[in-house]
Amino acid sequence: MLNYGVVLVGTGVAPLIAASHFISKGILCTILNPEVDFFLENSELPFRPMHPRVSNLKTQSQDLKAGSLESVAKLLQPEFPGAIESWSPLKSQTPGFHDPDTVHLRARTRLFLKSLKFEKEWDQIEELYLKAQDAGLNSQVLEGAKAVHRFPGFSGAQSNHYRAVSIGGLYDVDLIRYRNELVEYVRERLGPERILCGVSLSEWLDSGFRVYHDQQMKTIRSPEGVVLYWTPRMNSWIRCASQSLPSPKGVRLWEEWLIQSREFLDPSVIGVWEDLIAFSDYEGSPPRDLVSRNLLKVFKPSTLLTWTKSSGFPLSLPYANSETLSSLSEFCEEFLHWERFSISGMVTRVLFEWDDLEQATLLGESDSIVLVPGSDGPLDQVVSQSLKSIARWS
Amino acid sequence: MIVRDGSFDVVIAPAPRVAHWPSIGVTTLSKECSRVGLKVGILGENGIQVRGLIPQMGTGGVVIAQDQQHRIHRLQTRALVRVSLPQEISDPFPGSRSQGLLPVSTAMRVLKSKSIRLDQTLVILGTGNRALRLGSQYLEMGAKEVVCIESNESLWGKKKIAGWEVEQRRFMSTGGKIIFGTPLSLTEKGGLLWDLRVQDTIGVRILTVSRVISAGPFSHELPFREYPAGSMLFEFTQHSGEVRENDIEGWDLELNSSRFVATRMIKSLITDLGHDRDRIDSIFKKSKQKLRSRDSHLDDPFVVEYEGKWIKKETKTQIQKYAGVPKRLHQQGLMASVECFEDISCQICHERCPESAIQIVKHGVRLERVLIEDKCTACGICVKACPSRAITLINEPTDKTEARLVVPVATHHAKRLKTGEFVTLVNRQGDRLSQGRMMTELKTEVDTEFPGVHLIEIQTPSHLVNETRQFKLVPSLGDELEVTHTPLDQTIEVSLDGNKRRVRAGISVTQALFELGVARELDVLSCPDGSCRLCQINVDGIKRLACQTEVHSHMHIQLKKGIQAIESTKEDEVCACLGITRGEVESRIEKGKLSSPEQIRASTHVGEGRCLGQSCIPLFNRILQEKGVDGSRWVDWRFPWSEWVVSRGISE
Repeated sequence: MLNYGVVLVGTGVAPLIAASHFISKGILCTILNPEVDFFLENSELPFRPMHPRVSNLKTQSQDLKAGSLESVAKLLQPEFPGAIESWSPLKSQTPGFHDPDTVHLRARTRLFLKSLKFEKEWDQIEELYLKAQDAGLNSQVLEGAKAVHRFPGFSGAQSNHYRAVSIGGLYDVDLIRYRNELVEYVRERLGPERILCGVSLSEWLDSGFRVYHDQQMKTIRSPEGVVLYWTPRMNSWIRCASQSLPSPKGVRLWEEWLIQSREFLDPSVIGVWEDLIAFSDYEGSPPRDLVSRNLLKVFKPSTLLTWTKSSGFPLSLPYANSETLSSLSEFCEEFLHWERFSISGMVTRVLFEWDDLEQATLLGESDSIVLVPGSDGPLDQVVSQSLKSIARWS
Repeated sequence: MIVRDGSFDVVIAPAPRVAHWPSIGVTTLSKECSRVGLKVGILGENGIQVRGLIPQMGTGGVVIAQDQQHRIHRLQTRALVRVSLPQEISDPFPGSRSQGLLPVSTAMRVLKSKSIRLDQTLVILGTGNRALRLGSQYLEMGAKEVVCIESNESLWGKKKIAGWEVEQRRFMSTGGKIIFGTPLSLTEKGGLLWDLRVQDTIGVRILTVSRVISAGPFSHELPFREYPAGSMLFEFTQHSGEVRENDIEGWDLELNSSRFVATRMIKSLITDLGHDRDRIDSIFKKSKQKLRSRDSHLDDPFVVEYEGKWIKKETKTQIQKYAGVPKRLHQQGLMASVECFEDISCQICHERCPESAIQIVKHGVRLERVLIEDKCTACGICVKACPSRAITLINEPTDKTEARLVVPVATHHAKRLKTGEFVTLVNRQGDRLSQGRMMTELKTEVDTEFPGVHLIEIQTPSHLVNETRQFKLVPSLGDELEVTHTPLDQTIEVSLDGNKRRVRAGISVTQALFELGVARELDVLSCPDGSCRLCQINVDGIKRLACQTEVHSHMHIQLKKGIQAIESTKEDEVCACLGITRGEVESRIEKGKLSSPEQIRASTHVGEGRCLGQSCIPLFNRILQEKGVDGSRWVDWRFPWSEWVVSRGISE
């Protein structure tokens, strides 16, 4: 019978990071994924949103501290099996070989733009500016043309009505490449018998489970422990584990729209306007040819929705509705002054939000089952939570 | 922007380029689901265009559609069925992305236009029923030569071709040829002519062709898929045409698939079926059984073996023993010979025979056509009705040296026949045998129903009556193929990139581009309703869809800069929009040992170009399967399904 070692259950990057760490330490482990692959749930974000609607003053401070390029690089690099390149508009590349196809960490300027009409909301952004200064990040207050013309895709003439706070040095990452390389590495090292995808839970046992995989029932015993990485798709597993669960603050749906831009998109800026976050979509360092793939990625968060242990998710999630479409239309036509725009793609993410991300919670009497909240959301948070969850085995 | 919310239990929506709507599968699915009380929405009619589906967690999703007043409809649904075209894009080779190669759905729309020259060879890639039937139709219209090329013969077992034996027989007896080989390149010669290089067992041959049509099938395709499993999101392939007789295999496949999918959905969406349970279970079992038997003709094929031009003795015995072939009464008078030897789903002869002389009988595990000779009156209705031309009338008197054979002939050939004229007798694979004589045309009660088919009685030597299945006219001087030119008064002048050209009046801009030989790369994916949105063109200074715009006198057409009728610059491009080659995809899979279609698509970016996967995802899926990645059930649920342009508060 196979010794499964530590069993890691999850659908995204979190179990992969833990597995990568275990592999480097020579500790046996197995990954169970309820989804058919590690790409379907897509529960990570490539940056810290720092969206005024999503974050409050406290979380913004945390975001600023944790979201700088340097701190994220220190977190991601050791556990990543390959090279991670960095790109910053302020620094020229160090001499030597640079792999354009590997994962890139970029330091893009976050531009919080506000119309001069909205004084109250400006106060919150000014607060952010001060916190950024305290955190040692390069931040500025901009007004008029200097503010608005940096916004990716802006093509209007009148620009005196805006002011903005720009904060430099905040990270965003090539999420697909990161996840991909991690999957390849872990799959190669663990082998197919230790990464089981498309697994359905049949029954919880003492130190293990019975699962249905590949059209047969399997018993997975794990005397060394089980780690459950809690994302929305893991609900059915989590609920079976215990009745006394911590509760997230709520669940938020993120819409990710891809829009074809006919205007120049500044590749070094992530703009925040009203309830939208917009930036030029590319992988690696900014492409030289900015015409051929001029794609504007727009993130829109929904309001925070209720999640309860009994009911789970709201029956109908509010995406691609009139509010979103009107918001996009207003953004592209009224703000960016585009005559028309083409929608090239749209995906959704459902992510938990927590009041205060706790340390990993232990379940059960034997302390052998570990529940890890915060396994969805910004990539640096996911990696950090994953590493904390396996600290006792390291 | 006006957005209206709605909800359904089941939504059935067409993918871009689907022409015939609603098809038999759609109506059957809708009917079965409605019967048990599910709320069903069929989109795609009355000007409602579906933009796409956004899957939601668990089951179902949100469908976004818009109507002609530009209102957006946001429809929550518990289950979705997206109806798509079958795979018809061939494996790429140099030149395969040029206008010289048309997908079969486009070719059938331009069937009778001047953009396909019948005085030159026409090549069809694939040997499925659709390919063989299309080839037969072109030959019956008078095409000089039609060749079907099969590149994946190993997929079809002993038979080597994908289609039915009766379709192969019809194709070859009317002059078609089948080559087993791989296309190497397609290069333009000019004047709507291309050179196609094909590698076969002998070597490389070069065919000068008027067009290459990609028909397939190129793999064993599932008729429907649910992805992810349990999500109630189905992709359903539209195999049927408008008329059942034009593609019986496709029609029946779609019918049975729709019943199967409907019962699957019903069982999942309704917990207590009550008195409907038995009926639903019965439909489920029957449709499942019929779907399993769809490949019977591959598992148990009928292969005619020849010694030179003559059927081998064993095959001859097999034919004569067959229950559909007459044994005695054909010696006294004309009698139907139903030579449909494989277990196929077509039962039209049985359905149309007014005397019930043709029965379908189970013989072991297969169904056979049985001729009841005493009932047959040789009325000829079955001969006309058989869509594969597999039935003839035979009279083989024992005391005479001449026999009579009545064969179905297309109008193009029939109108040139004269009584008493000598004809060349042709066997099942198109080889010339000997000479016969045209006697008369047999009239039937269904002549007006089948105006394109004539029953011609020919006199043949007795010893050839079981070998002969068609005839050719003896060529005579001046008997050249009629190439008709459009009279000048039926053409109009347009300006194409500043140059004056004449095109036929009353056709679309897309068709005009084809006929002028300047169609662009993505024009070959033309759709009937503009749903694919790939043919945008500048007409009189305004961007319009070329397929939906009719030419008018002095129209100014400007081909978009940079997008021209070009050949593929890379030999094996999978995604022509972004220039991603097959080699890049394969290398990515091998190096990373990737095993998930989503992962491979995300890391190679296939399908993220302008066409949003319409021209590349089917081919991408085939590559996955060749590389051992299980993509057979994968569906690319991207949103939107085709480019969605929104302008100043109005979405297009």
